[in-house]
Amino acid sequence: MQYARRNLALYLTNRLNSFVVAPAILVLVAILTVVIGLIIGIRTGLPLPQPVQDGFQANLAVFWALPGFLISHGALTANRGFAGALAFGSTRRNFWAGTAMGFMITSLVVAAAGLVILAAEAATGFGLGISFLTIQALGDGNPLIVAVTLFLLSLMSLFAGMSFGGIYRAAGVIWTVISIVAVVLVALGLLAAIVAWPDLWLDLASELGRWGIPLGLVVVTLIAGLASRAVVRYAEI
Amino acid sequence: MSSPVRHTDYRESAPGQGIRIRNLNKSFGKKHVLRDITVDFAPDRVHGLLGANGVGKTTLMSVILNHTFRSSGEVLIDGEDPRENARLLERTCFVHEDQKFHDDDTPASLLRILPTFYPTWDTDLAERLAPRFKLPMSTRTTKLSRGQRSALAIVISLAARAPYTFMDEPYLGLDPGHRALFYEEFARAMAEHPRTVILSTHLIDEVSDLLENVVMIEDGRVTVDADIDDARDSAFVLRGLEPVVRDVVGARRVLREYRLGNILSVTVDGTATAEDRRRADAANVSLEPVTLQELVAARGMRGTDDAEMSV
Repeated sequence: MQYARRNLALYLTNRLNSFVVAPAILVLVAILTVVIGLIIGIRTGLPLPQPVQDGFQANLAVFWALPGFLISHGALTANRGFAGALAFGSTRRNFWAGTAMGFMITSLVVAAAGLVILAAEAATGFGLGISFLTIQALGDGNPLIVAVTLFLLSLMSLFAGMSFGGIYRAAGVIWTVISIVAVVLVALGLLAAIVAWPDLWLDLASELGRWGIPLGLVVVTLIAGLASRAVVRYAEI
Repeated sequence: MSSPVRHTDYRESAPGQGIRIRNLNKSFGKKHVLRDITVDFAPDRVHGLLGANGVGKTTLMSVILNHTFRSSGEVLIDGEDPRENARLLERTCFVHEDQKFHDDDTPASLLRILPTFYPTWDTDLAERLAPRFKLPMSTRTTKLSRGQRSALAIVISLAARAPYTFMDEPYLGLDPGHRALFYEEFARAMAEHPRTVILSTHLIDEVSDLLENVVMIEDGRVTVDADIDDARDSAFVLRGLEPVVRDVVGARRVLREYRLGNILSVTVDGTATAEDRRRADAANVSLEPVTLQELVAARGMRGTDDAEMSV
């Protein structure tokens, strides 16, 4: 465990990326949502009328906002942090373990920031009646679902980035591009399956209820975590 | 930079056995970089890893520590395979010549974290060396100049006091003053805390006084593995007018020839005998010991006149 903890300490050295940027993105997207609400309000008046407020219930900005940065952070960690860790006498296994612990801490910070934003949103509706985290996909703002979903979304993104960074170190840029294309194709395949058999997915969604998205994220996070562990074992400097 | 971590000194509990390499091969696709390398690096000595560009020096160091995977062969450090061996690898330090760090890392952040990696980290030494090398502590490593990156690698390598320290062209980009500082601090560190160092270098004559053993690589193979004095005795230089030099050389194996006007310098394989000296004196030919630089040029680039320029 002491060896993995060294890599955790190395990961946490980059405080800005580990603790600040992702929560800041969350706050910025919340502010952006408020700005959009204000712009709509110029036309409709404030607070926003009920149909517009209902429309905000389908706001999925939070799901698009975080992964971009976190994937790049995970990839950079696997690429540059990996080289540093090995230079300082770490094994690949301990680099992965320590970094995975760091990813969990970053994800917990994001979840905590989300809960703070949720509390503000639930108490005030930002004065406009808009929804950023109090949306249907997050159990209408159920704090547990919001926290778990943000944690898993962040962790999944970081592991995915680490996987791509690991593939780059293990196999080079061509295989990195191929792997990204493969993931996009799988995502498009899932989308096609939803379009082709909507009843099946609606049944599944109603069966799982409001925990459907967190459960889906658990599966994808596990896959991304295992993939990152596998590729880091084959990464070279 | 003070270290809050207390560790036991692993040097006290595990005496080094050195590095043992047997039949080591490494290929990148069809390109064979290391060919059947068999060599030992004795403990607590400074080994110079010499050779021309692209012969596999960096690859050999990377493969020893499993930073790059070997194709075949055996590597043992202190009698153990280093692959994914955490207990063993924590006794090693290898900051690559083109070392990548995280974009946000600074010398200050790295020197703050390194005591957690190295039980024998010498905080006082790091705090003394960083200003001597004028290391900008709060500048991101990606923004450091070539010389500053070398200085950072030197500070880390010396302060880590790792029993197995690998240094890959550690002086690159350093000005003469800082190179002299490196040699001074390196010699001092080795005297105070002996360790096994493998140092790849092109500035061979500059560092030759620091080396105790030389391993020369030529075309992916080890061609010289000797104590530094033995290596210097393994060849000699004859210098004089061409016809008389050729006469003195006779049937001896010539490693390299170098002309300057009428003067021919010939690096001859083997140890100079009393008979060689007598014949050279009689022919008014200068017989000189070979320098390490000349030896590498001769063995690494046999037959090319511009060898010294290239090495």
